[in-house]
Parts: sequence; structure tokens; C-alpha cells
Amino acid sequence: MGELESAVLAQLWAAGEPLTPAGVRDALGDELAYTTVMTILARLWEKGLLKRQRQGRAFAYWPSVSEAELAARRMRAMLDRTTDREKALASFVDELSVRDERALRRILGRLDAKP
Amino acid sequence: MIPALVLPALAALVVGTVAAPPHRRLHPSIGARALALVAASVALGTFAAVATLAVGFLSSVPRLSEYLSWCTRLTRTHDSIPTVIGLPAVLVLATMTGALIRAGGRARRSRAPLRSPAELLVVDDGRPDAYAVPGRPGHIVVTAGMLRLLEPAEREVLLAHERSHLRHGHHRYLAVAALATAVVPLLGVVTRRLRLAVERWADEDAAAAVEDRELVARTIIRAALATRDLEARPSLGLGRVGVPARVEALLDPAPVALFGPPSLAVGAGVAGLAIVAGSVLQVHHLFAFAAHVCGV
Repeated sequence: MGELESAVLAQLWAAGEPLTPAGVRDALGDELAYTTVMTILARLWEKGLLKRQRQGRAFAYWPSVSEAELAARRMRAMLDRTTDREKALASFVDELSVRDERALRRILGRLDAKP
Repeated sequence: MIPALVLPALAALVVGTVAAPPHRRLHPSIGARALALVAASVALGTFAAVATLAVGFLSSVPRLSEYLSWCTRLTRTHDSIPTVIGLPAVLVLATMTGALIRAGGRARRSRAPLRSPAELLVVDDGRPDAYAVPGRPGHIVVTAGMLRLLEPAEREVLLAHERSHLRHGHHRYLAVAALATAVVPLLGVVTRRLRLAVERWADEDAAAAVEDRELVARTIIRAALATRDLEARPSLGLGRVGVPARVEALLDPAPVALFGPPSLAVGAGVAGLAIVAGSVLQVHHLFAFAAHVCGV
């Protein structure tokens, strides 16, 4: 159930607009039951991760920024800062060379061309 | 005595740093475990060898010998250690210990618990980025930019990949490697291979979860191309480490299961190396030390 919650939450963030349970189900394109989506949305809302507003007969949901997300944001800023100092040590993180990038784009084109 | 102490350490060091990368057809979980074991064994062995030399040397210095008398059982069976070797050993031991303490402190500081009822934490930021933050429970941190970039099926790949990092505790393997590399900087090579191995491991888990290797390859390429402008940082992310090699591996058939003959061969090799490195520990000294401390 935790995994479905993540998928639904990710979908709402990606959508960038409020979605009803039907909208979420359509976007995810899975064989999810309508009631399952509704239950997950209600649970995420109870946890304070979503906001909602009545839209016709259903609720439309959109993500709210939680305390923990603010904490994650602060941590991210901290990671950004520590990077400069430890860049010399962090050479094990390889960067994408121009040649790599070209090769990857070629592979991506080949994968996209497949049916 | 000195060659007997130093040679196995050198052998382990050489084997550890030039050891061939884990075989392509092997599941990366085997490679990751083997590499972490190699890093730990080599670092432990090297540290023990240097410490024995340093303590042996210091205990032969008249003024210090009485302070170190508690560990004469560790050293008295051996020849005295000349200053040419003893003094550098003391310096290297001090450097290693300092590096170890600093690395440990860094590891502790980077552990910031995130309290959230959800597995997924979204940072409202347009720049695409994603990584796993270990903890109890661990969390997957993703930016809104990354989620908007990917299609639903690709988001499943992303979540499955980061979930694999959390489920298998990949950060522990990397922590072992980071501490080992702090002691023996040459182990940076092993650390780099280990980073690639844990990313491959997460890729294979994601491929198993979505049952589509090409989809995983495509997602990694798209994430990598989108995040290439971000500053490289040492975290468990999707499109960051060894992307060309990982894509290539995903476009190959799935690696063989865990307990085939090749994995046994690798296992035997690693066990052999661990024994060599362990011999440097000179386990009999530890027993003598324990017996002494316990008053036997």
C-alpha cells in the first residue's frame, strides 16, 4: 500500500494541477480500481500530504508541502553546500562526458523508435 | 618479522586495488558484497600491520616502554623495530586514525532523520533530482522537476530503484568503503567499483519490478541527461554513477542467478583474499591481548 501511495503522490506532483480520483487513475494508466485510488487519496489527505476541494461530486486533490518536505529541502541545500568542499574527495562520482552523452542520446533514439 | 607483517598487507592491497571488476554476467549484488568485504579486509589488515609496527616501536623507546608495558605480550616475541620503519609507522598510524575519525564524523553528520508518514518526499524544486535517504524507515526524496520529467511508468522505475537502495541498505556498503578508503586511500578504486555495483543492483531490482529492462535503461538515460547539469554529489541517485555502463548492462540479458558456478568462484576468491588480509591481523596477538586483559 505504501508503494501505491508513493505512485499516487508522485502523479499529483507531476500533474501540477488538482486531480480527482478518476483523473489520477487515468493518468497512472494501471488497472487500479477506482475505490482503491479513492482510499489512497483519502489516506494521504488524512496524513496532511494532500489538500483537497470539492469538485462536482468528487474531491480534487493536490499536494501540500509538509514539514518533512521542508526538512528534505533543507537537507538538499546542505548537500549542495557540502559538495563544493568535498568535491576533491567526491571524484568517484563520474560526470557524463560529451561522448557518453552522444552515445546515450543515440540509444534513447533507438529505444524510442521501437514500437 | 617485519616482512612477514608487511608482505600480506601489500599483497592484499595489490589484489584489492587491481582485482578485476565483477564479471558482467554476475548479479551485481554478489559484486557489491565482494567489494565491500575486500575494502574492509584490506583496510583492517593494513591498519593492524601499521599499528603493530608502531606499538612495537614505541614500546622499545625507554621512556615509553613502561606506559606500554600492558601490551608487551603483543610485541615482546618480536625483534625490535628500527627507527627507520618504526617512526614512519607511528606517523602513518596517526594519519590513518585521524582520517578514520574525520570520516566517521562526516558519516554521522550526514545522517539527518526525516520524519514523514510517507515513503516519498517531494521537494518543490524544478531541477530534476532524486535520491534515497536511509533511516527507519528510509525515504525517497525526489524533486517535482524530476517527477514532471518522467512518464508514469518511468516514475515506477525511479521509485523501484531508490526502494532497492533502501531495502538492501546500500548506504552501509558505501559507509564501509568510505571508512576503508579513509584508512587506505588506494581503496578509492574499490569504492568506485562498489558505487557502480550498488547502482547496478538497484537497476536490476527495478527491472525485475517493472519487468522491462529497456524501460529501466530509458529512464536512466533520461534522468542522467536531465541531471547532468547538477553538481555531482555523493548520494544514491538514479542518473548519476556509471550511466553508460549501466545502460549497456540493462540492454544485455538479465544477469545469472545468485548461486551459479561463477558466483562460487568469486566467493572463493574473496574468501581467499579475506584470509590473506586476516593473517595480517595476526589473530594470535588478539588472543594474547584478550588473555592479558582478562587476567588469565
